[in-house]
Amino acid sequence: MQNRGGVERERESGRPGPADALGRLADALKRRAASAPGPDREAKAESLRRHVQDYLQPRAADLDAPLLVVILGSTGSGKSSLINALAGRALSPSGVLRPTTRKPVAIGDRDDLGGRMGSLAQRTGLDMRTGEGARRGLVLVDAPDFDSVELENRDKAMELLEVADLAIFVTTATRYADQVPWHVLGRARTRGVPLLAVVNRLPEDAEDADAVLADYRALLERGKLVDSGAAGSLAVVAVPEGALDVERDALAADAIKPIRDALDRLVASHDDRRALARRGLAAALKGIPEAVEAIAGQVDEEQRSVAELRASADRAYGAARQALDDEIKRGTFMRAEVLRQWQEFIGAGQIARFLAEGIGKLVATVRSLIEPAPVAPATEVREAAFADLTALAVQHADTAAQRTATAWSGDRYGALALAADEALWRASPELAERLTTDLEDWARGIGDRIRTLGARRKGWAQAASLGVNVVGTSAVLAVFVHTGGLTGAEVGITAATAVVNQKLLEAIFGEANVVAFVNGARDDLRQLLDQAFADERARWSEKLGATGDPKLATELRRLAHEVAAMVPA
Amino acid sequence: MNGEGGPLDERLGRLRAAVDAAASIGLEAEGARTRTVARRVARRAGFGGAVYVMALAGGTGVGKSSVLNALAGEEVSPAKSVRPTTDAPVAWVPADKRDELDALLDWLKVGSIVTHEGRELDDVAILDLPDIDSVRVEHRATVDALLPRIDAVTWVVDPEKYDDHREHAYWRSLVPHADRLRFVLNKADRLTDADVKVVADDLRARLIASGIPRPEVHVVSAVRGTGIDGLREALADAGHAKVIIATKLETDRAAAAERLGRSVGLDADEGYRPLLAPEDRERRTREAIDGALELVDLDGLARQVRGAVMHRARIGGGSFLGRLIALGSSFTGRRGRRADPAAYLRAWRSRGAMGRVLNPLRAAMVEAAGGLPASSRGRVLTALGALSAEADVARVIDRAVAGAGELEIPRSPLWPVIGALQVVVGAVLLFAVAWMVVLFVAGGGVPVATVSAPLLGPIPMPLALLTASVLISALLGWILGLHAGWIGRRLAAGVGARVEEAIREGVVRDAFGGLDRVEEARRVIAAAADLG
Ligand SMILES: Nc1nc2c(ncn2[C@@H]2O[C@H](COP(=O)(O)OP(=O)(O)OP(=O)(O)O)[C@@H](O)[C@H]2O)c(=O)[nH]1
Ligand SMILES: Nc1nc2c(ncn2[C@@H]2O[C@H](COP(=O)(O)OP(=O)(O)OP(=O)(O)O)[C@@H](O)[C@H]2O)c(=O)[nH]1
Ligand SMILES: [Mg+2]
Ligand SMILES: [Mg+2]
Repeated sequence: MQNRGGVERERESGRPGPADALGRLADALKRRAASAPGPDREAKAESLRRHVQDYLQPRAADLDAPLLVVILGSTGSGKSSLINALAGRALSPSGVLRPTTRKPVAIGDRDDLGGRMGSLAQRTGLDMRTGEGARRGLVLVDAPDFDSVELENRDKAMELLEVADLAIFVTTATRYADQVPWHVLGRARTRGVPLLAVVNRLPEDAEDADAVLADYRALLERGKLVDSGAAGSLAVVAVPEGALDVERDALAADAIKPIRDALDRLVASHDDRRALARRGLAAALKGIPEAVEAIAGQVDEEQRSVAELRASADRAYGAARQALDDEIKRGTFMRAEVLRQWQEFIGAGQIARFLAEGIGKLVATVRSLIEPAPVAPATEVREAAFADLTALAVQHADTAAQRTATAWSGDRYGALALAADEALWRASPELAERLTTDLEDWARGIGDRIRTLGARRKGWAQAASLGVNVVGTSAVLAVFVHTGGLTGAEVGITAATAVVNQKLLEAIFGEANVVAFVNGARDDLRQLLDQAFADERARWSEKLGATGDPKLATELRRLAHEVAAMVPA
Repeated sequence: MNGEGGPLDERLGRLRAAVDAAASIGLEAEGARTRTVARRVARRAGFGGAVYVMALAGGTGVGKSSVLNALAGEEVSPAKSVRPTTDAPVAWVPADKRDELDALLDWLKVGSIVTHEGRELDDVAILDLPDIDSVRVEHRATVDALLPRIDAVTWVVDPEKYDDHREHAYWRSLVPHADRLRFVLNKADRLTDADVKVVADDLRARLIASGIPRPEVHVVSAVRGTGIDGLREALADAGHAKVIIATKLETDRAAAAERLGRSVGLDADEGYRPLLAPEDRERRTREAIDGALELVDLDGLARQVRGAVMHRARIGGGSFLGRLIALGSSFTGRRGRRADPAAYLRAWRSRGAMGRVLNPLRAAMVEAAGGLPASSRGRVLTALGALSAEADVARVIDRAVAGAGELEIPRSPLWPVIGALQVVVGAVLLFAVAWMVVLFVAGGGVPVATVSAPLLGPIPMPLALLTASVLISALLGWILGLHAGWIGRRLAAGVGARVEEAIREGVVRDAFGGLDRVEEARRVIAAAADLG
């Protein structure tokens, strides 16, 4: 037992090895994407997850797998013309209509088009070609553009950037200072992908062309991209305007010779390929913390907002629940009309006889002989009582919902959550029905307890003659209706009903039992309402989901550092 | 500048009123945005309309400066191969209008001005703008700030950039100004003639898809000079500067008003429509009234009124015993509970949940707010009074209850008469009792009948008196009860009807006070947006 090896001990303790860090990072990013507020943030996490899962993981597992070389650039910059030149045949049509290429086109050796290329093809519609122009060990891809009005093209191009081992970045004399391509280059830099650069359509005038090239180099320097060259510092391949090979629908072969040479060198040397793959992987691993930080930073920012949103919901619902409790304590939320109905029933024959003593009992007995026994309104009164409590609860749940919604609508994430569900502006539509059901259950519980209590009392026979329903309603009213110490006209009917109820229950169960019994029922009611309000409050939490989960931010950062510490074999 | 909605000043006045109306219902930010437009429009109108301003806009390197230079036939704004070139707007203006354009160009913050003597383009000042898509983001900021002040735009594209997302996004914002928007497809020399047509058609199709119904596209080559004359002619034939400026300003005003309208749920195609449909409002009002009446409890009130009248009748006209009981009930508080209608009314709050009134009203408010865009819903709902509804409703009922009139419990002249009779009867009764006691004592305990006493028929006189007085007292009591009951019922019916009427009126008038204010504001905004 003592002598187990380190690896085994690690497995035993359930702690995964460092290579799993990539898997766990991908998983954490997946969770982030699922819970991110808004499509932009979701896409950001999803795109990094693709990078981890479709580039880092397979590349870390196998440095000798074929290199993915992606041609990226603006629409019309000449990407298709370039791949045709490199393949030596019209592979991907170029065109004057912008954008031309909508589906990426890949060319590679048949043996090299398996593996991760399959899933990539599925998602981006990659058209995989082989045969003439294929280079062993390299898969060359003509990507769609990233700046035309077709936004799907951009998504595909960006996805290809995330998984590339080498990127050939094409621009033109008109485009080289556009802002959008520089965003893409910025990501290429943090990603650490080795680069080749082409400027197409340079002016014929040599001075003008030199000025443009010098300007582009200066921009590359400022963008800290010079060190990203695939072989040494990043050289810019200049292609003059009109350097076309019309037959092959391509750029002129001699103009792009430096690119072809670079690729051919890689084809020739397994070691060079491996070195490039390792370099790209190492740089990509190093780039992970920065990329993750951009996401974790968003989570932090969300967390601050979300904490405030949660607090405002808590405040609103706490206050509403408290207000509801106060009104229940005051015991005056029932309609007088209902109470009168109950009091009239109790005051009549049967029950009065049961309650009264001495002379009163005699009078009541005589009356009960003359007057027909009234039909007990127990069910109506109980239902009316429940309707009153429900109206009260909905009133306070509405207040809480509107307070919360108003507070949330002023916040970015709050507004996003609100926009997803119009119903949040009110108490949930099911609340009234749910409370009615809950209250019926509660009343049934009371009925059961009355029966158990009654079985032990000698007055029970009499009580039983009244019916559990009547006694039950009486108990419900004992919880709902009390005067809270008030007297006078304000609580006229309330006080009277409370007193009569109390008397009835005491006559049946005895004073001490009634107090305990009513308190028990009241506690159950409180719990029932607590639960209902907690569920109302939970609607809001659901809308936030895992937005701004601080644990997720910490986990992302920790995994990023673990990943950055990995050293490629 | 007299359009169908009156002169511009008047229409701007309505727009300013709409801004205040928006602010009054919590939409300050939307109002401020609108106010900015109103100010800008007024300012531009103040510069006069002899010359309109047309700007060349587009991405870097498409040839904006080159096109201007080609139009001018000389270098007005340097065109270079390094990107981006133009850093600040350059104006090319007719020399004879230079002075009167001074203030306008100053407002546009155009520092570099080149004049020309040409007769053809003598009512337009052409601006060459910086780009909107280069790494120099300040260029775009300059254009963003300047373009809203410009009267007409000529957007320049080339075969590389004509389908850029950046450009399209910008064009969509210019859709309302499509009448004063023109497109130039430059660098035609870089395409074959066949391809020129293909690209120009594609551009047109894209523009139509972007919401510009009849795009005017000029195909030119600035370096070769092809198509430039046609462009110049189109510019010269664009119409009167005055008309161009007026329609531009009217478009801005209308768009601002429409946008403000959208923030309060007004749809330009539908015209003004209240947030809450009248039948929904009526239904919710009815529910609220029913709820309020339940709280006020007219039945209970009637009982209280009848009790109070009965109490007063007993005090004034009851038998000795009756008065005693009535007085006693005042001390035990029983009267307070059973016969104090005024206090009973005031205490409506203790007879049920406010939710009975509140829930339908708030449901109506949320329904009403459902017609608003999500961005303004919270603020307008606050203006509707959703959050203060509880206090507002309480005030409405309190006021209705207080306004139901004095609850003076009447006295009837009949009661003192009955009271006096009761005194007499009481005296007779006492006398009869005393007589009988005397007889009994004098008779030494012998039954009354054997002692001599006047007889009334077969019955001894004291007994007859006693019986009669008891019967008469009971009869008087019965009459009193009957009369008081009658008065009580009549009074109760009157009071009940008054309270009910007051509640109905109060709820109808005040319960939707917030909504009425919001509708008032929406009507002002609708008027500014020309929605009847
Ligand atoms: N006249 C001229 N045309 C060129 C030159 N280079 C590229 N083109 C043209 O520019 C157009 C665009 O080239 P493509 O290769 O289709 O560009 P791309 O980058 O693949 O464009 P997308 O597929 O839209 O992203 C084609 O019509 C080319 O013929 C050049 O040097 N001179
Ligand atoms: N082939 C060709 N080139 C043109 C044409 N018009 C302009 N160019 C060239 O395009 C480049 C850019 O022209 P500019 O006029 O500076 O473009 P711009 O739109 O003003 O660019 P910025 O000032 O950077 O926004 C210059 O090198 C011009 O020579 C044209 O019609 N055909
Ligand atoms: Mg292409
Ligand atoms: Mg320029």
